[in-house]
Amino acid sequence: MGTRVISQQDFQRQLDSLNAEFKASLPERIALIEQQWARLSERLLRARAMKAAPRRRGRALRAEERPETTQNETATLERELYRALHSLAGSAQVFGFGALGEAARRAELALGAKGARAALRRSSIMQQALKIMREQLELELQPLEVSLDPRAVVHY
Amino acid sequence: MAGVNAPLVSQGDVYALTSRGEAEIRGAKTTLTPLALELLVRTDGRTTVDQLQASMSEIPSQQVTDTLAKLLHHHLIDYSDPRDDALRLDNIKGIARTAARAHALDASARQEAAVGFNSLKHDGFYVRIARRPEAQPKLPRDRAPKLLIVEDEPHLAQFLSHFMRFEGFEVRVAGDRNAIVEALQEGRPELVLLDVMLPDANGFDVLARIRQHPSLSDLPVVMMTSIATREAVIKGLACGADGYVTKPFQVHLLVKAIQTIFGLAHDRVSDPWEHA
Repeated sequence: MGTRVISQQDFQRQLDSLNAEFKASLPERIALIEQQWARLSERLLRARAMKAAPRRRGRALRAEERPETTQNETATLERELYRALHSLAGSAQVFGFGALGEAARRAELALGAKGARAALRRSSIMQQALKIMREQLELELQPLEVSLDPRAVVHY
Repeated sequence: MAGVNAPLVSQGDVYALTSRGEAEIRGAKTTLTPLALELLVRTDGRTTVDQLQASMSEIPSQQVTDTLAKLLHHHLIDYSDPRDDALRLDNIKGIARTAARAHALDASARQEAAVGFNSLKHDGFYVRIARRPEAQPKLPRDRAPKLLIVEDEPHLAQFLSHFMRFEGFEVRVAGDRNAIVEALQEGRPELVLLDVMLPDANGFDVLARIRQHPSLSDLPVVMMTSIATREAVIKGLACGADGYVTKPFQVHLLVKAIQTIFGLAHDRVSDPWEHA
């Protein structure tokens, strides 16, 4: 469109280095997503338990038990996790991590879906998606071992 | 059809919507083609056939004439004398007609959103054809065109930045609201690639602000979205997006969208990973 000022080789080098950088960032990103989901699911379980349990009469609620506090914190956690998944889903596929990006996309959709039925399915979809993301990451990070012996099996 | 009906439509003709035509574009269901519907919406009792053709330069003139002939044949439009129009706008019928046109634009937006949505699903990008040729943005010849990339994911932003620099753009990246404001204050770019979901802003709101700004209102904006729902496309069109690219995107589609906006022929763009 405009006049090209970068050579094809330099451009290729930039992209290769960016690809390597993205790959190197994945373990930390996925670990963060796992942590965020662990915290969120724990909070959701606690909220459900508190709702179900009969409250003792006369006892004032502690700050962390007040509905407005828990709801705000849960909403913040949910938002942060959604953003992390959205960001990974949008970028992973561009950098060639198709399956990982697709898993992140499914998790993002499950987290964003509204309604009681969606909430019931959310947990299992999130678990599955996280498992796929972790597996894909390990697959990508594992060095490719190729034997020159034609009888040998190629190990991935 | 062209052979029989084409002589009916002449370059200097002016058409107005009939009540049947108005009902057609107000109706929720239509069997018309997108071009026929677009022409119905643009039929205002003042614009001549050649002006219509010029405003839709991407579509062959003959196709526009044939479609108008078909609309005429089905009594959805009728010949109009533009000298009557001023008189008509002064009376109550004229006011009713203006209200009907507002509805028509809604119908047009809905139809365009449907076309855009299908195109997004099918091709991965969509560029609207609403700009008239005289309003079509041009790339500068004496310097590198400026591009503002609004994307908060750092790797993706860098990837786009490298790619668009390679394509000859002078690139600036903004990842949040303040950075967008700062970048736009520094100078008007030729194009903005705008992510829909930003950490502290909504891309649609940013687009609406750009459209409200007196010196930026006609700035070409391509939305980059993973939210490719019909509602999102309607919202984007209502805010004035020039095009959409779905994320994760393929760069050659992004370049194709940009080329369409600037009215350039589609060059072959290589996939940067294909030699990697």
